[in-house]
Amino acid sequence: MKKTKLFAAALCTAMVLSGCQSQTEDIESTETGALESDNGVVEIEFWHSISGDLASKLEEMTDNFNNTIGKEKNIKVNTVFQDWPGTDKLVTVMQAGDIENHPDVIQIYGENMNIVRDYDRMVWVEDYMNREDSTVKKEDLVPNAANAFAIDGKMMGAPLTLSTLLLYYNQDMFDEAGITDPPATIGQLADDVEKLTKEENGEIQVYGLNVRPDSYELNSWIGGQGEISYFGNNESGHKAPMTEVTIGTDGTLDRFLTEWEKVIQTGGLKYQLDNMNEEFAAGQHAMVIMSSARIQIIKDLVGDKFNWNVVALPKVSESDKGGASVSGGGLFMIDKDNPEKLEAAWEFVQYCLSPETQLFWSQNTGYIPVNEKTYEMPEMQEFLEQSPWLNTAIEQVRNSDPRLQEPYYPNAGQIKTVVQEALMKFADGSLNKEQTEEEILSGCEAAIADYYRANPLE
Amino acid sequence: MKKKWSIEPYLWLLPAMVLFAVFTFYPFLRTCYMSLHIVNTMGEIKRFVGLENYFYILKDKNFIQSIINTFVYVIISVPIANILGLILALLANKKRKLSRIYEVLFSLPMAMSMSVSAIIFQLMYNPSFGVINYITGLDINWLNDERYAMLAISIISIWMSAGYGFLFMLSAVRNIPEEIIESAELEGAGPLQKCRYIYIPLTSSTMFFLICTSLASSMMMTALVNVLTEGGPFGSTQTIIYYMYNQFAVGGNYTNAFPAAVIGFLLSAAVMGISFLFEKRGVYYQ
Amino acid sequence: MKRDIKDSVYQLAMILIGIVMVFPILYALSLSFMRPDSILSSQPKLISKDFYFQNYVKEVTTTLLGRYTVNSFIVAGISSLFRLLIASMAAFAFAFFEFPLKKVLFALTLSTLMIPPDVLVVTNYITVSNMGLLNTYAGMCTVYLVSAMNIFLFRQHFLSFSKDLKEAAHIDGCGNVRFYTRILIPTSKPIMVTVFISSFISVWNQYLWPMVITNRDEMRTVQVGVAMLKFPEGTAYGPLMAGAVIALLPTVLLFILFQKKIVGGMLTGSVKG
Repeated sequence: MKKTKLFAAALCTAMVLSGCQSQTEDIESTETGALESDNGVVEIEFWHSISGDLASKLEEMTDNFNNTIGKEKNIKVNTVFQDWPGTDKLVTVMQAGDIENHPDVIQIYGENMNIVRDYDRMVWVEDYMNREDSTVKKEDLVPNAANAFAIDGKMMGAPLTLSTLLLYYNQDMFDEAGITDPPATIGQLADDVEKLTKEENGEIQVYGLNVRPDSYELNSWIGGQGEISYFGNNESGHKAPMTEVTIGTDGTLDRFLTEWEKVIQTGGLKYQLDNMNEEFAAGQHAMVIMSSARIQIIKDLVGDKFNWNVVALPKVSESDKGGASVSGGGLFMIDKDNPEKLEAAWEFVQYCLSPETQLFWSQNTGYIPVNEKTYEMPEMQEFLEQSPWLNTAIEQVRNSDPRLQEPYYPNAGQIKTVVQEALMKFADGSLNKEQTEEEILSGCEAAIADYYRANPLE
Repeated sequence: MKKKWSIEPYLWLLPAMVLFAVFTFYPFLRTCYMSLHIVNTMGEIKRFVGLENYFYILKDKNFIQSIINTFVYVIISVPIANILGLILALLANKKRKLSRIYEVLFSLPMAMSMSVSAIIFQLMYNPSFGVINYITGLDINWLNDERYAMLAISIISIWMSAGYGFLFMLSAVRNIPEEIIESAELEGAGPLQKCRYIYIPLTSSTMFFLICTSLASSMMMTALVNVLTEGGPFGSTQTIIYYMYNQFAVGGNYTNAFPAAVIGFLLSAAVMGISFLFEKRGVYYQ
Repeated sequence: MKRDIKDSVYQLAMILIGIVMVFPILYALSLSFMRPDSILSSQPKLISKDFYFQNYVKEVTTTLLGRYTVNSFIVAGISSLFRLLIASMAAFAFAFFEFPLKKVLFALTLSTLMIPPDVLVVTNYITVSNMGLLNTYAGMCTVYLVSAMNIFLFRQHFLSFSKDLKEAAHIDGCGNVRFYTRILIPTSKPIMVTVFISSFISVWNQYLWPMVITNRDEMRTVQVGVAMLKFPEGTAYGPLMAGAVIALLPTVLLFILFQKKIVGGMLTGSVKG
């Protein structure tokens, strides 16, 4: 009868489930307690939130480690994809107090630093780098990268990927419009946008520039001003927790908005975000501002269709020296009360930072190496000849102040939305310059207050 | 019939109730409890504040906007999706040679997951490359225009629910005994009259189920917003549960997220309650 | 003759409507075979001349799609079976019995529809983890074993049965359990198929919980495979569509197979007393 059938089904499934449970234990003997006694192989978990093509490259990199150093030292790294930003899952296990299921190494972005900075299980990577036997020393790293995950100068996380904002432009369109040099300041950018925008019967066929700036872009434009500038106090949270924004009082926001207004007034700015890569490759925009990490993607999309190039992010004023911010993901180690695993984790981190791995990483993705020694390698020189655009990115990083970093925003998401929406309203004419400034400042203030209400500083 | 208090019904209910208790009620009660406290990103309870959190988020114009948006979404998508399901069911009622083909086609959207549908529609909605603007000749930037974004999302939801509704309504419609329809036709009833006096009343219990459950799930909608618009543009697609999600997943702010969840629950309960009032009046059980 | 033509025209019209309904799916299918640059051009092409299998190759090799599919099947299948059992039992109680607290319990059941699942995740993680069911199929199924929707649906269906029938069965000496197993369930086949299918699809489409409760890529479900293709720097639409097609294929096929049963419809004349 149906009921017996159902009961039988239930019984079967119960057996299957218990069977499956033991099966998964066989396939991957990863239930943490049993590990070390299993041929002495130390297994560690590496959580990342890298998706798309890059995920397979990450797997490759990990496999390389497992097959070389891993074999030597009896370490096996298991990669686990956790959806962006990757901290949701971490917070879950943190709250559950589930030490065993913490990762040994996790990849996090700067904007999520606030979640981990006070967690006592986080390990300071700099302590490990200072050890005698460390294969990677702090001096070996590109200074901008080394600072990306540092608090008050001390590195908590190690940089894995590195990128920076660039201006991509369609060289053919430049030639057509008679522009000889790409713009170096926002003012010049505005002039170029004017020349490059093509209109037909009141409808824009080609936009001079496509970008939807939010706090990420704004941070570079603020930070680059003068010698260096900060978005918020305490070096944007890198020295001590950030409790307010400083861009109003120090005039940097005003200076930026004044220049940006020129771009808006040309009428050739597309401030919506649809499919930036594809639209640029299809010739719908003459210029776009985006991360250097997209160089590979653009290369594939454009192919031979037209000549294109990249140039450093246009500055606010001619005299600005700060450069642009770097961005990327960092590797963080977690102490699970298991010294063997911590050592294994450190081995893996050293491997990721090594010149050879950074070379591999850079060749297969749009990121630039974080290890200075990679640049000296002949393979790197060769690679740069094939992908000359990366040189621009590298140069911009070198010319940027290492203190110019992604801020450790309290309430990063909200601040991003505030800036993005205010700048959009500025671009579509709903707000004038003063109102835009006011909206950004008050929005950031509210976001920060909201954060500290829920997370009072002890 | 003797009314005897028996333990039997409770036993039938036991498995369901135990599961609900462990996986739904207990966690939710914890949520309610924590909504009365300041809770930090680590989930640690800092101090008791009573209803202060509720007042705090009710003063947030973003939250109020999300409540309005949710109701707009519900009012657009629920009736249209279910009526569409009914119409398709009536059209497909009679079994013909090719029935199976179009029955499958009509109900297929039901098999799609929200995130996959969202991705496909995102491409279709692209103002320059997307097929929707291409075919209709319109020049609307669907997902980036605050006037149309919620509509764009509602359309996706209607598409998905209509398939589901069609399936249920088709069963319901086909379950109406032939005799009733024949005798109505003998008495000269036309299609509209048949609808009004036969089809609609006799399928009302299924329709009620559909409306009730789609009200509940629409009030809780967040998946489409997560994938497509992240609450934008300018908060026009932020729903109550998206607000909650944004608060805790993006902002790490449980202090704001928990009261939002509770308020979302209370509003949905109210909406469901209202629909049950209609059950008494409108739904016909044999 | 005339009626035949009218009939055929009607059917064709229906099929056309059907094609419009599934247009997004066809679109995804078409896109999954296109080259990257054909996908986004100013003149959107609906059908491309190339059969670019690379997208599928890429998708399958980048992720453990095969394993994910198996996982999804197991979790969705088992959960749906349990739901059938548990929901029909509960609905049986609601539809055929009178007892104190009936209204309250039903209201509680419905209330679960209005509780946002996202807030429950952390607590449930702790509970399941304490049960030792992390990274297991059992752990993934736990939260899906019961659904208020299903209880509600069964209740609606049971309510449209005549109460007299149960009375008649009683008089004939048939106890409640036998009534349930020998009469109620067999005549509810279409509903059971519907509930199974809709549960299966619903659990199949779950993303968050399977992601949270597993730490092993091999245990994850198909929806994760799709998410892994969304790259913040720019989505590769070709492979993504290929992934989407692979992700929806099983449920679509399941659908088509069971379609007849779902809409078959049992004549319930005998029950109407």
